[in-house]
Amino acid sequence: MILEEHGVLVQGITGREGSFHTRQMLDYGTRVAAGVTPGKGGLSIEGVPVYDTVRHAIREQPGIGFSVVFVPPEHSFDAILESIDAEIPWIVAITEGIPIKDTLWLVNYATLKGSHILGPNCPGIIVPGKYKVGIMPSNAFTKGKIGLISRSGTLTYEVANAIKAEGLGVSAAFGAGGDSIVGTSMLEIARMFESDPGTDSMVVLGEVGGAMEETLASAMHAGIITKPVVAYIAGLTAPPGKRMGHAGAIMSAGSGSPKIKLEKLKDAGATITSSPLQIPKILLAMQ
Amino acid sequence: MNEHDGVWYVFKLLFAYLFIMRLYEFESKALLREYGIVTPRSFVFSSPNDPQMDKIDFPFPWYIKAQVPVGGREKAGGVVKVNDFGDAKTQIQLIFQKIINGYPVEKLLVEEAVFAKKEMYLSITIDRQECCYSILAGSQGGIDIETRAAEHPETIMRIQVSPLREIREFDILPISQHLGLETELVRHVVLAMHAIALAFDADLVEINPLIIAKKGLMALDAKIQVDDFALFRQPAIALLPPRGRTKEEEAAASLGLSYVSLSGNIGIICNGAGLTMSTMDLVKSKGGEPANFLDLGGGARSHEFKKGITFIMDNERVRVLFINIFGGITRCDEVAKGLADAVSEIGLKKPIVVRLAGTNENEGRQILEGIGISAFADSDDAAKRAVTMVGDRQ
Repeated sequence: MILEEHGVLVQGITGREGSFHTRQMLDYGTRVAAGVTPGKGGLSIEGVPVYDTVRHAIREQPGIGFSVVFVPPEHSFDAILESIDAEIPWIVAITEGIPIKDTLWLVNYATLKGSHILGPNCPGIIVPGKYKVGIMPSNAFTKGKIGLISRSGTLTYEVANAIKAEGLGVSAAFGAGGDSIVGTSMLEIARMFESDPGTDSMVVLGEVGGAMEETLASAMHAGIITKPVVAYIAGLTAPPGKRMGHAGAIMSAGSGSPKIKLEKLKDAGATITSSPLQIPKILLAMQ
Repeated sequence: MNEHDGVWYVFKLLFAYLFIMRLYEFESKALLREYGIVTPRSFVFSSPNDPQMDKIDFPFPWYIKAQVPVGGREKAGGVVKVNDFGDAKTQIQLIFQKIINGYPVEKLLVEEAVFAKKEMYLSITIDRQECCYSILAGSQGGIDIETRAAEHPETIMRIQVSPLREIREFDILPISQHLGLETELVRHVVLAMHAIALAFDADLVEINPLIIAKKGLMALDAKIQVDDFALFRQPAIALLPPRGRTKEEEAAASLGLSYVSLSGNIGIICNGAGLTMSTMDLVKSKGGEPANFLDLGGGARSHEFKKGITFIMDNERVRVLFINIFGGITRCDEVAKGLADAVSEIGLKKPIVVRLAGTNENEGRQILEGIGISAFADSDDAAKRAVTMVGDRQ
């Protein structure tokens, strides 16, 4: 498995989203071991004990490997910082709207301290048949050998569902997040899939803005990523300088163009497609 | 700031998070001055007959500069040099009537013309790839900086600074050497720009051109862009009137919709930014032209769909409405209910093509059949249909 299963801590567990997705994660078989909401320690949500602080939670519930953050943007900085300092290896930030200055600082700090941040503004991680740490609709995903890397939630569900309809499946899906600065790049996720024996090929769902797809293409050129890659980039018709819903989806002077991303990925050997729903057929043809 | 009073601005503030807060030149310069960076003497005019005309105490020539939230205003005639009073009055009238790259001129800056032998460039921005602050120093600034940077990359120096630390002397020294300026002068400006970036959550602080004036460095033009996600803790910025949007986008924003206007005639409604962009691309690939980007987000409820659908239906440019939904957190029955509600309220003004897949798909289909709409299961087929329908109506 790409990432071993560990206990999950839910930050913001008493909120509407936090409690709802705690139930969903439990139903999927995820071991949600603890929740944190400052001031709500002692409660129990969906049978999961709630603590005031992350330190307290991990002392009481050993074996936590993931923290999933549903905390509103104003409090996300503290929440993520708390998990980094508690040395939780993976922090999955679902929250949309965290100021870029906060994310910038946290991502650099996490690197120093040895934690990984996935997101912010991401749907999380799902390892079909095993566990999910996030908000993906479980029924769109079946177990298989395709690694999914994406900057968009709904597009991931759509493609996973189409893959399922063709009788194929997914080894794991990672949502990198839609913000301008994210903690884990598409390349870092691709490297995990590259070394995962359970993954045969990868699907990359990129979008306008930033240069994560270009960096991935360079790594493919350099032979760092050798497994077959099928890529789709959303936003070919996005006008420059306009932010397309996601904070990170903006094309600025000379960078972020979806055309260039597609060209570079194609040059690096990826199979590119202009329709995300064609992806399963391309994957089938590769089998 | 009496102009920012009133309920209207408070109302706007609620939705301010949807826009990129690009400060106008006069606002950017006011911030720079607060941090001790010198700018030319100037007055901000809000109307062609602004009474401040009588207060101007600096000599001719002046620059009359349109305040618009887009670049390239020089080329669009938004900056004019004037040599006397009559000239100034005429130009002020003219510029107020202009639309600069799509934006009407609501304010202009009347500024003393300062001349310099050498124009330089200095900015602090957030580097998405390297995940740090980048200081860019250009020995040749002025308009067309992008082209110059591409043609003569050696004129631009980049210094990367981790967000975990301050700017130190070893960052400043190479910049001052590159620009051929005294370290003292450069240190003052760079530290001030960095302080502004941190204090105001700015993802861009740019001075272009930066010149050597009598008493040190001076910023002739400036651009500051504030992260819209940070507006909850930037009350002073959040209170500024929103900008950088078309009238249509402004109307959408006041309804709390994540909307971008485009030039085509197929109205698009989806859930999730990625799917919305992908749907725009799909429509285009079938030979259609999207009229907009409208992402109702994951988990939107029926009243939100109703609001979005009504908004797009009211747009005169839109000939066909294309709703493409993949239900994850969003439930297809909520989408269908919103559509049915919108139709029962305003009628089926325009043809609608719907594609539903995912959570509660069947329940959604049933509701739509009740109002005579049969939903597609495949987005490709649906997009084709939407494009053909536009053709039929022309």
